[in-house]
Amino acid sequence: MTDRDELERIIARVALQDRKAFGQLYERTQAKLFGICLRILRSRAEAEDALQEVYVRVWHNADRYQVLGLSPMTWLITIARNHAIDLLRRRRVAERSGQAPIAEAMEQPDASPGPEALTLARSDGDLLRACLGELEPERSEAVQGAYMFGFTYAELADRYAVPLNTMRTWLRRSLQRLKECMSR
Amino acid sequence: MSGAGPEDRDHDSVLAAEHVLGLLGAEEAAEADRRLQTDSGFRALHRDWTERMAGVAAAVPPVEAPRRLRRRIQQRLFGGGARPLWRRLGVGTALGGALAAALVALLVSEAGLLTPQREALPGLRTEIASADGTVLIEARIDAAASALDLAIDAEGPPAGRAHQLWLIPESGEPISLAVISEVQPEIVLPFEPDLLPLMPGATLAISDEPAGGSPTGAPTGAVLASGTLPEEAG
Repeated sequence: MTDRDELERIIARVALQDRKAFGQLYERTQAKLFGICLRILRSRAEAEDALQEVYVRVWHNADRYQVLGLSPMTWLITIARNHAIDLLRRRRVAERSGQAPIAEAMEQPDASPGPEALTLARSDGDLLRACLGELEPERSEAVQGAYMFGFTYAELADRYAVPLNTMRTWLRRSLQRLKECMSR
Repeated sequence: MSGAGPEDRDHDSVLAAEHVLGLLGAEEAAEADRRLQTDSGFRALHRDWTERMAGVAAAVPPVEAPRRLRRRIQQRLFGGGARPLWRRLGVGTALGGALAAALVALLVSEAGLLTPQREALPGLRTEIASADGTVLIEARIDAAASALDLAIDAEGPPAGRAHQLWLIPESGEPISLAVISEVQPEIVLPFEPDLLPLMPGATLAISDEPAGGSPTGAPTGAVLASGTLPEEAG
């Protein structure tokens, strides 16, 4: 049985409110999801709170997993990423009165792998990495920054010092090219 | 939108990507949400982008979450304290001392015995855990100080009850190490040095007892959590 089949089987049991299956799902996936929360939020305390909320959502939404048609890891990663991004955006709004934190957001606070870790390290990300690599470095970074740090067009325009509409055009073209490349 | 020519699809694909990335304004996002409900073609584009972009997050190196998080999550979802181990084994909770001791002994023998005698070694560790993750105690034997260091992540006993910590040697009766009426995150528990040789391979277990501890000198209530010390320090 592949990892994917195994995870799908476990999620199906979680959907039936199987607590033991939930424990298994947690043990198998917590490190991945915690790593993502930590990378996005850059605070252990916030990442811990986020991870709790993520698994509460996993428990309550497992019965909807199947209709979404996503791979199990994508489903879990998306729940974690979306929740962490929500928290990050809320924090950013709260911080807005002070200094712009955007410029720092892509830098790393600790000894965990640096910005280059945004370049993909795993074999199943090979295609994505190759295709992001076909984009100009700044555009590739902007696409990844939007995904991992929830940057808005306005924040990206600010970061790359281009007009808002230019940023919009940039990013849309980059997404279009990314899709073409990954569909080849 | 009229028809579904390649240009519309390209436009929709970019729109789906922007929605996945969270780049849309509130109104556009609400419109995209509505289409996700009603438009299976758009839903498919959205799903494809969700898969593609998840690869970015999948590349982030994993980091182990602290063990206590699992207990917190389970407590939030399932509430309550630890589920008594014996209830899960299908045995009632109102057990006499002798039967209780026998059951604890059974649990110990299941943990694996039949190993030769050995010297007590410093630094033996175990986790005293309930199967549902709601009790987690990291225990370390400090042989030099003849003390047990406990890092506790668990609820204390309810009013009028106590938790009792037992050392259950590989052969022999449970020995009471402490009666815990109030939980602190860290406890250093001195013990008699002559217990040291009994510790490798022994089980540490927490039972639910009346206030003041077991009246019989053996466990009388439910075993809330247990953990087996290794044969050697690892």
